[in-house]
Amino acid sequence: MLNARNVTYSIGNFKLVEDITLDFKSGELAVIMGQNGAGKSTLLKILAGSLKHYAGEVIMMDRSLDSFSDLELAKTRAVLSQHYDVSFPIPVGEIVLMGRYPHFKNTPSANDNVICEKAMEMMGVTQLSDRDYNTLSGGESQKVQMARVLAQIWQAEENEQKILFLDEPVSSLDLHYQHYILRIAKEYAKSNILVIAVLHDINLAFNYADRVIFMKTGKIVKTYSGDEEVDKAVVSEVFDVKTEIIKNPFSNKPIFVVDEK
Amino acid sequence: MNLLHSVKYSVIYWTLGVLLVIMVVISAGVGAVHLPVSEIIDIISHAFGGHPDTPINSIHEGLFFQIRLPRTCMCFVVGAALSVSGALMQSLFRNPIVEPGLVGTSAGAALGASFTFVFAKVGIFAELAFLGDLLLPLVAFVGGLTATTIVYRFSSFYGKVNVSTMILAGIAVNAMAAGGTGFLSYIARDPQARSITFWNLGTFSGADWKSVIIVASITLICILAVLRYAKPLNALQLGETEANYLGINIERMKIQLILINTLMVSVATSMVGVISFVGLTVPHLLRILKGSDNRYLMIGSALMGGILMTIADMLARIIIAPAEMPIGIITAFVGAPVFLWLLYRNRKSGRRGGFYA
Repeated sequence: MLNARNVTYSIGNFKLVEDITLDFKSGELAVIMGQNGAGKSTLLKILAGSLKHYAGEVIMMDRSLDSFSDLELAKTRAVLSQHYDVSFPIPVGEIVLMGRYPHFKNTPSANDNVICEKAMEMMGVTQLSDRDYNTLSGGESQKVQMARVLAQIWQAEENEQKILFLDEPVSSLDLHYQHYILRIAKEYAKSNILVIAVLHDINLAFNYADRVIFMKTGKIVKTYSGDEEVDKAVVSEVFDVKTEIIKNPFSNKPIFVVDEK
Repeated sequence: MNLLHSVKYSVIYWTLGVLLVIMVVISAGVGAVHLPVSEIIDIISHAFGGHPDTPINSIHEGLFFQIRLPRTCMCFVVGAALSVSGALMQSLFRNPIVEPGLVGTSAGAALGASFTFVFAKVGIFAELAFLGDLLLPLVAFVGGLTATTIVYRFSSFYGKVNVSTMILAGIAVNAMAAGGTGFLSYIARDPQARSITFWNLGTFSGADWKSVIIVASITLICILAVLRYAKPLNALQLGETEANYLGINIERMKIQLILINTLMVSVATSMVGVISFVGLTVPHLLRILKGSDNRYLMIGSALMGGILMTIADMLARIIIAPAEMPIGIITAFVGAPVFLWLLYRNRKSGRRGGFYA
């Protein structure tokens, strides 16, 4: 559904992302991990079509990514970014409705409004609808933005192909909502949507991801799929920390503990 | 969060519309010769063929139709143009303190217009004489566009506009344009020089139907064009990258909107001079009333800007009657304190979450 072929992105002589080849299929939740500055967000932006002028090729749904217009892309994929900075008072309801902007011309259809309501309900922000977005807490605004991107790629028919990009979606959420968002991402993936997320919490990543991709200095170091046994040496090398792996008693998934010395 | 949170947009538009009509009628009556509202109504109904028996003072009729009404219409149209421009630029640059005067548009247009005043019959301008009344707005547009382009070029890196650089570049370009205008008024012969100086502070005294029609048609076309961008401008408030994720070609939209905006402001400025603070303040008043939806801001700014400019011009004619004050003095004296009040209000409540929270 989404394929990167030898993708390299450089600023001057510095390669932010180097020779990346990856294939993503629909129904998958893929998580990209790595240190700060490893090129995760850059890769995400290239795959999402917002960074152009890269070397190599990206194919989205059997078409070159470059051949998509801005509007076509907006109807196909949604992106949750790390930061939002809104300078004027805008009600939360309008922010969520923006997710439907690519789908209507002047006035939202009844269907657009229903989708927004469902997305807000899903993220538990219905009661914030009339609040000024700027008065929300960090976690609340992250949930509102999540509702917006969910509304953007809400499936009109079952099994319609869509892609959801999440750049650190849980960074300011409490424990409950960290898991909640990833559960939603996982559920979304099941309905034929491809979800690609950048995460910093390795335990969350291994708990939910169908595939974990480790990056270091712009390159892919190692990819783990599903229940593959994880080598702690790889994790130690990627993050420059000493780790041990134990089992999560609830899910049997690996838990990484760090030796701080 | 806003005063009129639960009031419908259409109610606000109608209220502003009715206020506008009332202000236009009152304003048309004010001046050296007072025309009471009843007489204005008689004059209008007479012109439309009603009450042919009512005696009409034909001098008053001429005064109303040839001097007062075009002037009041010009106030309305220019107020609308400047306020819509302010709302547009604030949304486009996602910054609450941007206005046409700040990014050099007005000063550049003023320089272009002064140029036409002084050199109207010399060299290339003599060749362009066939343009007639369109020469002045055209040269003003070239001046406004040049200044805006310089400021914009200096403040954007890799397609992102740095607002603080833009403000600094705006100061420099404004100073240069003002210097140019000053130089022109220095070398100009007396009547021209006097008109440049007076017109630098803005005046509606020269308004006639011809200029009203030019400004009104350009402003109307521009506002209609801007309204088509209301939705993408809303999305832009999330940030440029986010708006792009929502399917908007940001670079193309920016260039189109800056062109439209420069055209609208330059043409208005070429006819009435530089009028500050209206474009800055009106959109803020509307946001306090009811939110930042760009469609509402554009329509509301057109109406409210028209009303406030009509009132300001009325004050300019009353305060030192029978003489007349440049309107720029009024808008600066009223607009600047209002803006300071906005800053104070923001400081009081703006501990977190930006300018309005």
